[in-house]
Amino acid sequence: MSEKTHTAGSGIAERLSLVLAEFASPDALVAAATKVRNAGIKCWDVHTPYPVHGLDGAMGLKPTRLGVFSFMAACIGFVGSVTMIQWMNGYDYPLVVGGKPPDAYTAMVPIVFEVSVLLTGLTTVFGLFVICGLPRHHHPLFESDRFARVTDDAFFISVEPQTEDEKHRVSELLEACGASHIEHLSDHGGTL
Amino acid sequence: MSTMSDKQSVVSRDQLTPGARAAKFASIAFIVGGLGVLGSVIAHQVDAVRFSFSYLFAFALASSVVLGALFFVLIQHLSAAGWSVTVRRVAELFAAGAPALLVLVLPLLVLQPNIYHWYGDHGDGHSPAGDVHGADHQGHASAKDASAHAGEDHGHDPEHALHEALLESKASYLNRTGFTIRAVVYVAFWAWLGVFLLRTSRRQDHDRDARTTARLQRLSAPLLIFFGLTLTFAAFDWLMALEPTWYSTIFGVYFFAGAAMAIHALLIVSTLSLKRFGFLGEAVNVEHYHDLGKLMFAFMCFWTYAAFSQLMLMWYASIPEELTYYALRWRGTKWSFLSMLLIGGHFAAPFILLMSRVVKRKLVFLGIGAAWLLVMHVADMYWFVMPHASAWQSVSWIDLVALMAVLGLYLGVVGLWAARTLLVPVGDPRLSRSLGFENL
Repeated sequence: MSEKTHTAGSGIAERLSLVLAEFASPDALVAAATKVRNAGIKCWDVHTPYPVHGLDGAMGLKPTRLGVFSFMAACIGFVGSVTMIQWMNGYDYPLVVGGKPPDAYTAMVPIVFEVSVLLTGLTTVFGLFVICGLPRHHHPLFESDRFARVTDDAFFISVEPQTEDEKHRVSELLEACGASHIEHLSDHGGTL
Repeated sequence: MSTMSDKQSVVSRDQLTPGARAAKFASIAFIVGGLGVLGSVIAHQVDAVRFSFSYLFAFALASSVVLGALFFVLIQHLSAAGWSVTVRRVAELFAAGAPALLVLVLPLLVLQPNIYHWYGDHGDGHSPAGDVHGADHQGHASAKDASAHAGEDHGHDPEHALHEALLESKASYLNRTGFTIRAVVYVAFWAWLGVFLLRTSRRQDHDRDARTTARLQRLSAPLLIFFGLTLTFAAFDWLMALEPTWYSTIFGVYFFAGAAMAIHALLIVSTLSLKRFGFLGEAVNVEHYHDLGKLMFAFMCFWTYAAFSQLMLMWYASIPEELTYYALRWRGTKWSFLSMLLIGGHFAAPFILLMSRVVKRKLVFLGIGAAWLLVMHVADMYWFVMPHASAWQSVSWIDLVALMAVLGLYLGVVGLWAARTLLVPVGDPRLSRSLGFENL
């Protein structure tokens, strides 16, 4: 889920301001997410205590790019480790151990496997960090007292308006979607 | 959620009641099986030894399907899985075909002197496997021939004496009586378990008693232990003992991994076929196939892991009595073609082709992949058994009739159960979770 925060976090301006709307039920949230998406708003995210079915579709989320990074890392790990072993054991310093051919493929498999998996794992984790804009020590979302309940029983949509004009437009839109409570948050502490 | 009840109403009772169709399937299977039995009788007259090995191959294949199905059902109960409820019944049906093995094991018990050569057989022929140093009389015409030669050839052979000593040390386990008793015990346990799991689950269709689910979850833990033990020892007895001097501690895991992959592939293929005939409807949808595909992929990798673990240790250690297994199958033998096919077709190609989420959610691709892996599983069982029959024999009609007999009778029993069973456990309290299941 954390990847979604990227949508809200990518356009970090000097002064980050947020419009946070609370919804009473997951159904209301999904309906509202559809409207926000259709309104063409770019920097926004949805926060729920548990995975809500149909939300990805309502938000129009595209499949993550992370898999591509992981796959490339796996290929690099595979080719790199094969090349390394073949060069070291087969060419640069061939050493016969236990009567085995120095460049035997059977002996390479565990190392090639480990290097590929390790590189893929690290790339996936740190790729996720990069995509999500982590590490990030503070976010205006946490200025809201209501937002603490997001891990319990509350459903939110947060929008990061780019202009003052958009801020008003977004607030009205969220209100029309049936938000039970709307807050304006900024990076400089406190509810505006 | 509202979406769940919508989906529930999409599936009609007709779509879950195969009834006459399943009965028709059962009769076709029994006809094929009957033809297979006839063919097998002829095959036994033509070449008793070859037929015995072919029969073991077919029997091991059917057992692996039963074991895979038992494993699938037990592990879903144990892990209280919600997603799999709508596909569990089909697995229960495959598991409930296990009583067929009670009949199918009998020919194996009769044919065992043709296949296994243990201490006390006194020149009753070596299986070619035992003869890495005497590769000349492989491809024997008949057991009698081979045994006559074996007796002469090894009369004063110190290797032979060593071989006999090894067999003597294992004789308390590897003997005809022990083999027979154990085989009956394994098969009886699986037959009971398969029928028990289906019956209990079917009772829940009517009484909707949620306590049944809790009870099955509690029971599945000890049952899985007995399952694991019987599977491992069956693999030792039936496949590893083909070469009694050879052993591999991971062999049971290896056999299990193939069986677990096969049942996921079979569930994909069989539910897709059922859908094609208008059954199941939306009860099994792309979300379930995605998960079945993931597990099939995972167990395919696990099979490779087990297979390679065994190969690498033996290759590195290079101890003669361990290497015999690969000496039969690896470079320089005719069977190396099949070994390479398994590396490429049971692992490398499907690993690359089935990795993507897109492919697993595209049912045409997933169906082809699952069907291919089933073929590879058959090849894997063939690879386990047939190199011990002879240095090289191409696939023959003898294999085919054995396969028809065993699979025909087994699938016939599955069809008979299916004719009086709903295709989805409608009384399971987790059913709505499974119907509304989505991959996130």
